[in-house]
Amino acid sequence: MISKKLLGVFALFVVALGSITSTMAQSNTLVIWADAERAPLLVDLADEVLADLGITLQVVEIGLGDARDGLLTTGPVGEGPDIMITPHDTIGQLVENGAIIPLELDESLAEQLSPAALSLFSYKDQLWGIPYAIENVAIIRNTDILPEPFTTFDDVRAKAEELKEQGIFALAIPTGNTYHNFPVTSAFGGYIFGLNEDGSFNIEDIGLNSEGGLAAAEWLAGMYADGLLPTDVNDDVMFSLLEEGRAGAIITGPWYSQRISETLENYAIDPIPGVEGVTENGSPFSGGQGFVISAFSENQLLAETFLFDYLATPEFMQAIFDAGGRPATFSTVDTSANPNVAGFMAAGYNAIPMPAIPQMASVWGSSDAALTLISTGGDPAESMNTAVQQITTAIGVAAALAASDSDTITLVGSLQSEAGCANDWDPACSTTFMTDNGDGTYSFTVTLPAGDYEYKVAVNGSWDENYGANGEANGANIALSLSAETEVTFGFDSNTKAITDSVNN
Amino acid sequence: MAVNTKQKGVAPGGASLFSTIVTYGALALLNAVALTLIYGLLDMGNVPLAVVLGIIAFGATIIFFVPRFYPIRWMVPGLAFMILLVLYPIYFTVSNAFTNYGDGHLYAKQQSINLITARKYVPEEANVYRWEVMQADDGRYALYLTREVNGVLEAAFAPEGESIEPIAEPTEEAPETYNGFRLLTGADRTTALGVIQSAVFGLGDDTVGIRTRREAARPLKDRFIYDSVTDTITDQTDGRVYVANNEIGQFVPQDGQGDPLAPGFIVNVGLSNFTRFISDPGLRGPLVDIFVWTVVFSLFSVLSTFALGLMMALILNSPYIVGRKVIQSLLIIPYAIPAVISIMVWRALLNQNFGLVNKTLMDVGLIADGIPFLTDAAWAKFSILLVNLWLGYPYMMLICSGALQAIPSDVYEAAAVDGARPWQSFRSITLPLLLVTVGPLLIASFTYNFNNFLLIDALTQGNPPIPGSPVQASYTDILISYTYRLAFGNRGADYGYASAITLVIFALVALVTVFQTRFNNQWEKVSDNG
Repeated sequence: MISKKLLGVFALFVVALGSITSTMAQSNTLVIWADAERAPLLVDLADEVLADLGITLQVVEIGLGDARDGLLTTGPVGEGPDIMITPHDTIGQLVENGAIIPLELDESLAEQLSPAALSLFSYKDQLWGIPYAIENVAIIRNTDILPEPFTTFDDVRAKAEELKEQGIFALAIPTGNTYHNFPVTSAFGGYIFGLNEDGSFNIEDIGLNSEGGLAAAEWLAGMYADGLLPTDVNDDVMFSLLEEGRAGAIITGPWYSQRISETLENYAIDPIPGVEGVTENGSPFSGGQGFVISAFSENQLLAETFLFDYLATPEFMQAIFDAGGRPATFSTVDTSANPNVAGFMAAGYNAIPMPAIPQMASVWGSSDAALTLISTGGDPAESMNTAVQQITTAIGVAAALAASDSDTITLVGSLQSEAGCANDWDPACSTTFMTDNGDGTYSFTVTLPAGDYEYKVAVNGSWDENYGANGEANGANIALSLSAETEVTFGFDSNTKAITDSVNN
Repeated sequence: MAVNTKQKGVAPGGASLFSTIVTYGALALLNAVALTLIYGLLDMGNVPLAVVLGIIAFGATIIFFVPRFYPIRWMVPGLAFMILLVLYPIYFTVSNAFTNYGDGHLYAKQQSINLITARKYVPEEANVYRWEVMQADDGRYALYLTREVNGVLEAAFAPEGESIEPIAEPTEEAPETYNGFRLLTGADRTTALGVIQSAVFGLGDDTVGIRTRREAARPLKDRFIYDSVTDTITDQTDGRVYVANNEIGQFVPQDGQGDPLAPGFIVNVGLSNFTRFISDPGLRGPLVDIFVWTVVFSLFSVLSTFALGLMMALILNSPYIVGRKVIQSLLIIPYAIPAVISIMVWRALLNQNFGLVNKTLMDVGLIADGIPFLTDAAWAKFSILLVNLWLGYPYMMLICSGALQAIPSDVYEAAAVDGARPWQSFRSITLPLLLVTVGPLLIASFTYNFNNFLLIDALTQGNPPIPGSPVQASYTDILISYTYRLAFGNRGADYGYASAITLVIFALVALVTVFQTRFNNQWEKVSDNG
């Protein structure tokens, strides 16, 4: 008897509490995700917006690096934001996952935004976000140590040699960091992804081991080997060097604007030096941050209204700049309060947008590894070739290439491990793929230590078709004897099947 | 004297009225929350989690109401959390391993279809207007539309569900009232925006839809239409048909040209994640070396931390040491500091040119150039082991301290009487009896270090790289950090693949653990016998 009564009371409890938790009022709420610097500005806006439009602004603080994953995880279950701040390199991935909606600008707004900034948030011919900051690295020079800016990278080397006697590094760059080293690569004519005619990225054309890319790698290797560039350097080490007067210049970005002013009294912000005969100035990567609207939002129209009427306005953009000091994308913003900004923007006149395509994820890791290897004495050409091979494997392009018409010719033999492959006699190792010279001949150059080797040539990554001495199919191995470390160039003529090398022939 | 459990206000077991109320209140809350969540989950199509929550809520209630289960009521929170936080994630991982859940395939098929078919387009023949929203007293909405045609202003009025009428005397700005509708501003307009973005204005074939905050199109059409019979989506702008490929989880163009529709959806891919793992070029790479290093690293970590911890415990066991408690407290510090922070500090200390360790050694004159602690393959491995020793020995010291107390002192006395020397008594008495207690903890420590992703990632961050490796790998990579990069580092997050790899690693670790448990059992036998 008693337990039935209690059960009854209990059931009432459940119903009551359940109904309370179930009824969540559908109010005019907009959820915005912003990082720690921007969030307070949005909170300040909340009262105004509530009074004018009756919108309740819910500002949630979330790190810039976490925004993309957060949206992809919470959006589909209805717990995501309506508007979000994100760095531009997440755009490709967000669009491919259908997570954000395209935006349209009025003419008046388009005039106020720089085309470079807009291109950062464009993907597949549509605009997906409104940028509020655009940034790129530059050379920060201690004018007490280096009164004149660098002109070319040869100049950098010359000054490094001069200053080495005083125990000062002319230039310090974060080690093994592609983002900060890219200006060097681009100065020598290298690139990450080549461009198609329509301006989109050609993911089959990776420029890390192009002529320019390799030249940059060689320059870096030489500098590290001669002790002219410091190794094992990260941002904190870099600023320590600057502070102690042991570095004449560093490469860093506007996020450290304040730290620069605090560390140095007399400094200048210069564009990246160039390379004689190749470029006037190296190009840093340009990156941006901006607002996007979630495709999972149930209030997209309201979000769009709020974004364009309150956020993409000169007043709010000015407020963002005043708070953060990052170069602004709106031309109306008065940047005179922060003189560093002008320097960074000048250095970014030829900045190359950091590709926002999903394939970029594969690039960073392998390229960073290659740069680290170079800094510890690794062979620049081998390291870059390995990086490109890793990237193409990751992107899955290798399969596509194999399916195409052109053959791949591999130099196989007991010299493959010395040339950078994991194993000898491996026809699939792409580190020793010979370069197609376009006229039916292939060549491959590598520096080998002294020793006796045997080699031959394999076609399309397997032993099915291979050639040896005298151009014979399945012919004998060719002997190669080196008395000292030598740079050897191998050649293969796909018409006559003749194999040559610069030592024997 | 048995308690009369039928007394008013007394639950079985004789609890007081207060605790009864608290118990039933808590149960009511649990059930209410669970019901709400279950409803929401079923709405989203997430059946497994709904089932789990149902089991927990139902189970908890049963345990409290059915006298037979009442004794295990204290285990309810533990059981609930175990089911929710241990069993469910295991189930989730296993089920994921057989799907392609990951970047580009984050949603169920219906969700993908919903996202794709939500997109609109403006047909060529459509008219584009600027709009303002108005509302009648009965709550219906209407749009006041304006546009310029050849310099002439045109306006139209489109109520919900009624035909669109042209306006004889158009004004650029919407009027305050029109035909019983009044113009909305402020908070009313905001509320309206939430509703009208998907509302249909107009009637039949002549409708107007809102496209952006400035524009409405007459008509605004769905760009993609899904046909469930043929399982295809047709693009209304160019007539292209996309067929659902349920093997790869995407809508692919029927004519084979161009890109598939984004986003894709989750599909069951059977064992392909596992076969992909086996045929991944990353596996032809340095995987064997990495596996060997993982085992060596775990083994050495356990042995070194155990040796150092035991030594400390033995020394501090002696009552003759002055300030024993203080020393012990100081020695626990590495265990107390969060590992992430300690590892980052160590990384700074071991920096080749500017780290404190190298600077000191150079100042003292022991070495000329900085030791490449984190950039040379061999030194990096040494650094990993050193830091892990520093992080791990306090734990071993604590458990050995406790286990040493448990060994009866009369055994030592007997050994001394028999003429055993200190080392003999350590080897024959202390160690075996210690290992009985500590053995399982050593196995646990091995298992933990086998998957010690944090240390490898934070200390060396994928350096020093192995040159010529087909997939990016580091000399200090252990299995988990290497496979983490395979799953997440390159192509964006691939949860299905990562789950499959997790299961493979779990199988490996389970194998090793079973092996070790057998050894432990042998120690048990030794201790039982004598």
